[in-house]
Amino acid sequence: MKIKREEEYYWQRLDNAAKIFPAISNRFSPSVFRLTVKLTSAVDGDILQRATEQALKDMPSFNVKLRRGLFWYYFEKNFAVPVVKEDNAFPCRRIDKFSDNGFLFRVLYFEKKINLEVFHVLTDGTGASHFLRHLVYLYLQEAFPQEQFEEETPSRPADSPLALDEDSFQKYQRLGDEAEKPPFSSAYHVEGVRVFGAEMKVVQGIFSASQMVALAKSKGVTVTAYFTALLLESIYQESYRYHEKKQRVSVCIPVNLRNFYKTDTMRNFFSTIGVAADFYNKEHTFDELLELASHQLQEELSAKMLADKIRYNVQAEKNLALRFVPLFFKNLGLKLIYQKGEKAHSITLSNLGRMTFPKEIAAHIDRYEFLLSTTKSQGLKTTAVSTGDVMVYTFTSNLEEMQVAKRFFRMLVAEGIPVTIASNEREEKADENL
Amino acid sequence: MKTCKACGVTVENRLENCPLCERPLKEVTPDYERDYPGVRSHRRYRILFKAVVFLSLAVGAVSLFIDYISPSQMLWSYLVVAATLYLWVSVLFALRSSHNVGLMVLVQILGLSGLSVLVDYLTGNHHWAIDYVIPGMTVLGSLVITLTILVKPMHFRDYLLYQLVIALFGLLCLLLLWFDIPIVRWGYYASGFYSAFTVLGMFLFADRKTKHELKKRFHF
Repeated sequence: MKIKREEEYYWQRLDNAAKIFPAISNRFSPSVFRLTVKLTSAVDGDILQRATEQALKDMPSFNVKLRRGLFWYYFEKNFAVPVVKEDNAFPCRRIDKFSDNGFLFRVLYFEKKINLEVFHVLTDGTGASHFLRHLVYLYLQEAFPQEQFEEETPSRPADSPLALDEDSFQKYQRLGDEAEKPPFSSAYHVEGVRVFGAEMKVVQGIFSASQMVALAKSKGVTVTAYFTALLLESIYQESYRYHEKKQRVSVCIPVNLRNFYKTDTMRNFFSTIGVAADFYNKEHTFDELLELASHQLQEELSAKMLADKIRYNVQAEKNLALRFVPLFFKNLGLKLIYQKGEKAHSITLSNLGRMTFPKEIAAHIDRYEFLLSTTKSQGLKTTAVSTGDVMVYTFTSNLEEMQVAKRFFRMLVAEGIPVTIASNEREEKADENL
Repeated sequence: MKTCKACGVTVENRLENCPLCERPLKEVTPDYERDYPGVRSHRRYRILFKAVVFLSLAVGAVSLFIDYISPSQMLWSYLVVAATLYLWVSVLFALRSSHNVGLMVLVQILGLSGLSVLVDYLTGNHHWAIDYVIPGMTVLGSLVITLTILVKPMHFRDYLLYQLVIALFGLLCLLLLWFDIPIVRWGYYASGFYSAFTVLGMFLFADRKTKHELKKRFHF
C-alpha cells in the first residue's frame, strides 16, 4: 500500500480539552458519545462500509490513531481500514487502542439506524456531526443511485487541513484576563442502584420541535432554559426532597464555542457552564425555576466569562512545571481533576441544536439522536437534538431507576406535547450470579 | 405501538412495561420499531478470567506454605510463584498486543531473564543466567526487532522505541561489568557492541525517521 510521505510524517498534538479524555476513560466512564441518524429504510452494511472508507479519505481529521509520548499523548495517521459492524451491544462502549483498528470512532448500524460513536479525545458533538453529515450523504448517494443528492457546502474550507486541525483554545486564549481558579462546590447526586457491569440504559422522548419551541416561547425563555428548569424540577421532586442535603442541584451545560469565536476546527472547541438551584429548606415553583435558569444562562453565556475559562485551562496546559511531568503521573492528576469536575454537577444537558439537511437528504431521514456516556460520579446524562420537526431528548443512565426521566416527560405531556418513548430496555436482565 | 396510561406517552418498542414507570403497557397498534439490539453478555469470559486468577493465587499460596513448613533447603515454591507470574504476563500481553512485536519481545526479554536468574539462584547459583542468558536474550531480542523493521518498514514508528529501549538495556547491562557481577565477561562485551552498533545503524540509515519519531515521543 502506497503511503504518502506527508501522511507518514503527520502528527498532531491533542487540543486543550482532548488532553483529559485518554487519562480518564475506562469501562465505566468511557467518554464516548453517539450520534445517530435514523433513516426511513433499513441500512445496508456493505454500502455503509464503503461510505465510511470514503468519508475518512474526504475528512482526514478522523483518520488518526492515538499514541503515547513521554509527556503527552499525540495523534498519528492511521493506515488501517475501518470496520463497520452491526450493533450488538449497549451504546457508547469504551473505545481503546485495541478496538476498531486503532480508530477513535466506530460506525455501527442497526435496522434503520446509522450510529457514529466517537471517543471525545477526537472531537466534540459539532465536529462529529460534520463527519456524520458527510457519511450520510455518501451512503444515500450509493444506496439510492436514481436520486440526485446535493451536499450542503459547509462554510468551512474543507480542503485546508491546518484549519480543520486547529486547536482553537490556544488561538483564543489571549482574549481572556489573567484567570483564577473557578470556585468549586459539590452538587447533589441522584441516588439509585447501579446497573450491573458497564451497561448503559437509554430512554428517549420523541416529540415535535415546533411545539417545544412554541412552549418555551410562551414562557419567554429558550428551549435550553426550559429543559434546564424541567431537570431541576424533576430532580427535586423525584429525588432531592427525599434525601435533603445542603448541596445545590446543578445542571452542567456544554457550550459550543464556535458560536462565539470564528473557527473551522474539526477538533474539540467547547466549554461548560452550570445552572444551579438551592433547594435546601426552600421550595421553588416551576416558574421561579424557569426564571432562574434563563437568568443564569444569560449571565454565564457571556463572551468574557467564556474567554476567562479558556484562558484558565490553556494556562494550566502551558505551565512549564506541569509540562515536564511524565504522562503517567499527569494522567493520575487529570483523573482527580475530572472526578472533581463531575461531582460539581448533578446532571448534564447537552443541546446540540438543529441539524439541517438539504431537501433530498432530509426526505430519507426520520430523526437525529445524540447520546452521552455516563460516568461513575454522574450517573445521569441528557441531550437534545432536532432535525426537521422531530426533536429527540435522550436520557442515558447507569442507574436502574428512571424516575427523573418519568417526571420530565410527564411534565411535557402535561403541557400538551405528545411524547413517544424509545428505549433499549430489555425484559430479561443480565443475571448477576453465576 | 403501546401506550402508558399513567405517563400519557406512547412507546414505540415492543415492551411489556413502561420504561418510565414500569407499569404494564397497553397495545394500540401491532407495529413496533426495533431501535436497539439485545445486549451481548461478556459474563462468561470475565468469569473464566476470575477463576484463573483464583486458581493462581491458591496454587501460589499453597506452594509457599508447603515450602515454609517443609524441612528441605530448596525454595521451589518461589519458582512456582515466579513461573505463574511470568505465564500471566506473557498471556496477557499476547492477548492484548499480539501484533505489537516490539512490546512482546521486550516483555519476553525481561520476563525470561528474571525467571532464569531465579532458577539459576535456586539450583546452586552456577551463574549461567547472568553470564549467558541476559546478554544472549538482549542480542536475540534486538535482532528480532531489527529483522521485523526490515521486513515491515511500514511499521517503523511502532518498533523504533522498543529497538532503542532494548539497545539501552544492552548498554546499561555493561554496568554489571563495572560491579564485577558476571564471571564470564565476553557475553556482555558482545551485547554491548551489538547494542551500540544497532543505535548507530538507526541514526545512519534511518536518521530522518528516527529523529522524527523521537521528537514525537518526547515533545512537551
